[in-house]
Amino acid sequence: MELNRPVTIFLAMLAFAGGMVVAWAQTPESSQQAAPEMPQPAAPEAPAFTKRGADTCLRCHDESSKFPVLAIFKTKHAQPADPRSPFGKLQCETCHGPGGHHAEEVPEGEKQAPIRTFGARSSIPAHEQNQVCLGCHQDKARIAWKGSPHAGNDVPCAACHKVHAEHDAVLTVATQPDVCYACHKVQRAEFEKPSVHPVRFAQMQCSSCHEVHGSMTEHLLNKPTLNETCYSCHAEKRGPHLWEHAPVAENCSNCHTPHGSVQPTLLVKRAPLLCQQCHSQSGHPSVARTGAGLPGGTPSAFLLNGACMNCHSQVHGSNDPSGVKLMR
Amino acid sequence: MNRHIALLLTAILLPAMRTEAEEPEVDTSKWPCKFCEFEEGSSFTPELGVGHVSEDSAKFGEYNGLDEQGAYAVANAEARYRKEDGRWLDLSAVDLGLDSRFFGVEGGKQGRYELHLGYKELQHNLGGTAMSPFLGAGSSSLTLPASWVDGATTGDMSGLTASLQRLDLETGRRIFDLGGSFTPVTHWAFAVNVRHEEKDGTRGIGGSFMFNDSQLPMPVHYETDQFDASAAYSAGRLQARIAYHGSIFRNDDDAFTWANPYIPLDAGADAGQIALAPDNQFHQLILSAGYRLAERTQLSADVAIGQMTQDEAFLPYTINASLVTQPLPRGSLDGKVETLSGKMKISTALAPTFRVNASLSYDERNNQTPQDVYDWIRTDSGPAAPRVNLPYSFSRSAAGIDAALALTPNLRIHAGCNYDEYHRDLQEVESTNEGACWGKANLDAGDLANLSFMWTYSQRTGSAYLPNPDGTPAQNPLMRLYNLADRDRNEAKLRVDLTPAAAFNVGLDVRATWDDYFSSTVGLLDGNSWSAAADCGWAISEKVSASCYVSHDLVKSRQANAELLAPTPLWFGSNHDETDSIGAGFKYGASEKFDLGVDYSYSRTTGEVAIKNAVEGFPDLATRMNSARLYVHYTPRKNLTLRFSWWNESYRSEDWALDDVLPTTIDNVLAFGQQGPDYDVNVFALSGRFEF
Repeated sequence: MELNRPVTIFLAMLAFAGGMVVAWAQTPESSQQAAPEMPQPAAPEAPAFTKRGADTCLRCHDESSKFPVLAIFKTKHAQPADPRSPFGKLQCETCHGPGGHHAEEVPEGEKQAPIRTFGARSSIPAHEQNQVCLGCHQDKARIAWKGSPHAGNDVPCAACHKVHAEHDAVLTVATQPDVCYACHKVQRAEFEKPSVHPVRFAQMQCSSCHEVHGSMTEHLLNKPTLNETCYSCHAEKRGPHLWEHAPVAENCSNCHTPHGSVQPTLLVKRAPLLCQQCHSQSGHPSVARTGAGLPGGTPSAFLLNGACMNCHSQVHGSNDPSGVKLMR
Repeated sequence: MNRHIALLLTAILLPAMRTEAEEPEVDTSKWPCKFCEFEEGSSFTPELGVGHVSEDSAKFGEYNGLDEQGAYAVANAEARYRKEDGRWLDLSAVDLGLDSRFFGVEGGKQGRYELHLGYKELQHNLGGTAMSPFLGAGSSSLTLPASWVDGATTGDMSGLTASLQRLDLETGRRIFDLGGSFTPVTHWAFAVNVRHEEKDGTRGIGGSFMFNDSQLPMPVHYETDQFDASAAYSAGRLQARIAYHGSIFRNDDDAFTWANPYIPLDAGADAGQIALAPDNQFHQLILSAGYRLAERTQLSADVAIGQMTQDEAFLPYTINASLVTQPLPRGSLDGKVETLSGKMKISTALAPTFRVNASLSYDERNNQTPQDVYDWIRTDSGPAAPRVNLPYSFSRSAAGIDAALALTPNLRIHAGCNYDEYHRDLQEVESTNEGACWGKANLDAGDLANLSFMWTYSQRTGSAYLPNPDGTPAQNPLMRLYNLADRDRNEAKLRVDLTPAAAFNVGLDVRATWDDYFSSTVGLLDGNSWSAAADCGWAISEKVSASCYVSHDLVKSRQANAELLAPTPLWFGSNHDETDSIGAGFKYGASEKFDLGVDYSYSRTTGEVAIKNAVEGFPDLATRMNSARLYVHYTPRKNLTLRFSWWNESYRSEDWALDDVLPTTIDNVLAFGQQGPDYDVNVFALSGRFEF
């Protein structure tokens, strides 16, 4: 059975929408604004919750504590009016779990009983930490979290996110890259190169292109393909053009590197060598260009300034009826 | 089952599978939260001051708006409003005194709805030393001064020097963003976003008459509107989302013309015309779903169906009135590309220590643009043999499986294989397939150390390499285009993170790739890259911390070339780029009232281009960048912080493609004369941050 494309698209839309409607219809009225599901707290034999909730915790965890937490009250997690917020539910223990034992007084010199903690240095396995976060946050942006590279490498959410800070650094354009560079050290070096996307100028961030919480696209790109990711900001190169340049239409990274390059305009290599990797036609494309073509010798149009692009300037495609050679 | 039916089944089944999780029941009646400092009321934190840039530099201010010498205003602000019932409003203003600036407002009622409005300007300086004799830069018609004298070469253009004017090659984006998200009932979220972007300015482009070329200031007057709308459902085992993405691009200029500064080689070739980026649209429907099949098994799927269209009216073949041209085969392209992307992944933990992931994907670019014969005119100069346009299509299918096994609590091994297959039309190779297998070991020694090592081997082969019958003129039959060529690739990655003391950590990341295009005699032969980066962090005391990084990066390749009839390569070329960078930072929080920080970075790059056995070689390409920053913050009282910053950055470059290439240096290129960047800039800023 073969369906034509418009019919398939229409049926897919109809089917998915139908499924969504079914799911909607099954949403009980009573659930409106009710608290969503949470990690299971207290089985009868489980550790007890504190007697006074956050008031118990804040007796110790004030600004002078080793683990100050008060900045959380500047964040969305501390909004009692939102039933989805931890402070709309079990306050600190929504995330940290029952803290009854942890809050018990201990003789001087002894450690408090442990409580669920978060971060790269926590003794709690990353996937267990993350399950707590995903209890509320496994929504549209995290559909593909499980099985993603970050999940597979046991990166806890709290390795990147600081929920007790007024401004979470990973959510701010200027500071996000430094959070990513903590692990992605090579990428920091790439953004130090002469030709870059403006990440070190604090005008772009890693998440401008990457969906770090999991994506079905290679390199965790936030669009279904690499080229569609690039077209988000470079729509003028999308076409389709009358005269296409095949490697361009297929994959921008055939000629460009995304983070930084020694060569201009993020090219993987400088023209004319870049173009001569693919063009061997008789005449000027296949002629070796040497230092003899530099100023002081016989300055060459095939070598200097834009080299091949001095004339073939429409390398991304042309819509000019006379643009077959990408010169118009 | 064909892919259409698979797509339909995915669409039908995933949203309908839903479950509810149980709610906890805890008595919180005695949890008054009286120590909780919930935020209520409003605050306003403006930062005002003055800064000064010591010299003009397009490269230093490439994106940050600090490209011009002189004073500028430091103007930033934050405002917050919070109400007990969950209503909130945030305002943010960044760098209002610069050409790259941002202003945004967002607010709503938490848990119910959010609205946001944003405005951003982004300046991109493309070079500050360009010169051109053309008049009308930024418009769609470039003319020459009345006194202009055509020349056979640039050196013969006697009026050139007197006609040169400075060109500001720069573009600016203005982005308006408006959107909101709504949560009318639990489990459901709806979002809409509208983004309007204007990009204006001038950038360089080459325009030629046969082999006589001019660098021209090309007008940029783009508008792009993007629309996004989505509905998402999330509860228990299921997350599903349906979304629409639309992007409409418009270019105010469909073409631009320029006067020929050379003595025309062909009759009537006294002006040329180039088509600019055509208006186009892209519309896409995206269906995503994730479903937890079992406690440790997750199924995720994405389907994206899109269509790109372009139907800008064609320009005439030429504006050279002395040439007789055939009628165009059609008035516009009626270009249409259908895209389809389907991906599915299943992740399961068969045991607490054993995880498996498997994935399938399919991407298609189906170009349905009609093919016609075009009797094109070569560079507004003369007729050429008719050509048929080649609308390229391709599809890509991929599958992968990997497994991770924790041998001990500290040692985990991970291995997998991927298979990737491309089908293309109208190109030299109809299909390529690439298989890759990889293995990784990870040793986690608790707080002390974490080490991982990964090796990947992949091989790409293809169907018969047949010179493209539609490619004119023909290539040397030994040529293998590198994105289609047979290739062996080895990749290695090593990562080490050490924490010898709680306050001190060191990290190392090393990567290497070796590519061998083993069937290529002409074209790219091989390529290697190698990167090593290390960093450190040291919390010296509660008040003092330091950080550092160092890296080395190398990219090199070899290639061969030969003209059509040569039986063996006639020449070999190589490229070798290296980058070194080093940096350090230091922060000192002396007291609640006083803190300072210093950051320093240095990076240098070299690029070697060589033609084997060439008598005259190339000098190295080189850049050197030193950057030092200092900041001091002093808080004399709770609601006032005085901020001082100094930033010095110097940059030196040697680029044989630009240096000493003046407008008359190349006989047949009327160049901008743009030189490689070279600057030493100091930026001082003093501001006060007030809290109300």
